[in-house]
Amino acid sequence: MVDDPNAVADKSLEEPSNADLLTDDDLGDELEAEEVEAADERSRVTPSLRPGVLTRMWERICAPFARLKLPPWNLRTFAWLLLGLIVLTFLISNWSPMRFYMFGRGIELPKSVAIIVLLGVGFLGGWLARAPKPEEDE
Amino acid sequence: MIVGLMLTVPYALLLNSSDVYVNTTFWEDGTVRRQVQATADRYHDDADGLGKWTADVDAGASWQEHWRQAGQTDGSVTVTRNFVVSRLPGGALKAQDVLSDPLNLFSTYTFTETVSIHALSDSDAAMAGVGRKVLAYRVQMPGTVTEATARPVARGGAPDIAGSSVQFSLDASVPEHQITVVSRKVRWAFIIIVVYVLGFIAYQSAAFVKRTVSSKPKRI
Repeated sequence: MVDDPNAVADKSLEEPSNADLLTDDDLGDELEAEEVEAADERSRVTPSLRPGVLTRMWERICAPFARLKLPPWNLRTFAWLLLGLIVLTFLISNWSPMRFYMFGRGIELPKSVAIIVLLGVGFLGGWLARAPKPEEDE
Repeated sequence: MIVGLMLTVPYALLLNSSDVYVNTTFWEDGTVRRQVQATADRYHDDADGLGKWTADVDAGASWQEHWRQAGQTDGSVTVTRNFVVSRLPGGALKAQDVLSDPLNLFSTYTFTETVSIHALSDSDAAMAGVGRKVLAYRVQMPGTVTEATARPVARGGAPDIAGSSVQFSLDASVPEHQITVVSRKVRWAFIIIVVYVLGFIAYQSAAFVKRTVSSKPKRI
């Protein structure tokens, strides 16, 4: 039996199968492979100065903060921070004591704490007495 | 009856006790806490007299704390009373704050009070002079004390200033003492808020200028 010499050429002219097509995934894989190779290359290079224990600890501490992304300082952020500063100033400025009295017993506490406690009691009362949500129409 | 805020200190209190302290604490909003503390030594003072004396003092409003008496391990008796009021009568504390002086970095507080020592008879003053009785008068101010004077000069000489507090030793043989204390405090909160607002304005202005320059068409 004699092999057909054009068989190879015919095969190359056939439509490419799915396995032969270069997809985006393949490209990604190739890039990843290149990155791994580059990383291997890099890892083979030993730095002349190894970071000390303190430096490594500091880097480890700083790593989570480095990932933090601060919000843009626009008008909205500015207004919220300003409101926070004003509220904080108000609380610090009113740290003087005040006295509550009932049935012969009195309690003395800072005005700021009293304001926070009364606000909290108000919110809690409102939350407890909230109207139930109307049931959705089915 | 004696005024509840202890603007007048009865000589009987000084006579019947070994130590008498009048502590006045001010907050920047003008709130005042005045604490009067007298200790009677079991062997040298009249502990019963201290109890009688406190009964003669106006107890103030019902919501004010009454005298508290506590026996010490050494047999002495200490009576204490706290008064908390939102403001001392007669504008005793004058504040130069942000509204009255907005361009200053400091708020200045000036406290002036006349402390009277009430003697029941003419011989009391002479006895106090012989016994070298003194009233320890402490003031805690908002901010660091910069100036403190007593007229006539307190028995201990110059008042003892330590940060935001000052103590005078007032001679019980002198019927009236004029106390003046001046303190000042950095307006941190105000400064921080002003710097924050100005910083934002500067930041936004710089960003606006940068945007304007970069969006301007360039001649090629």
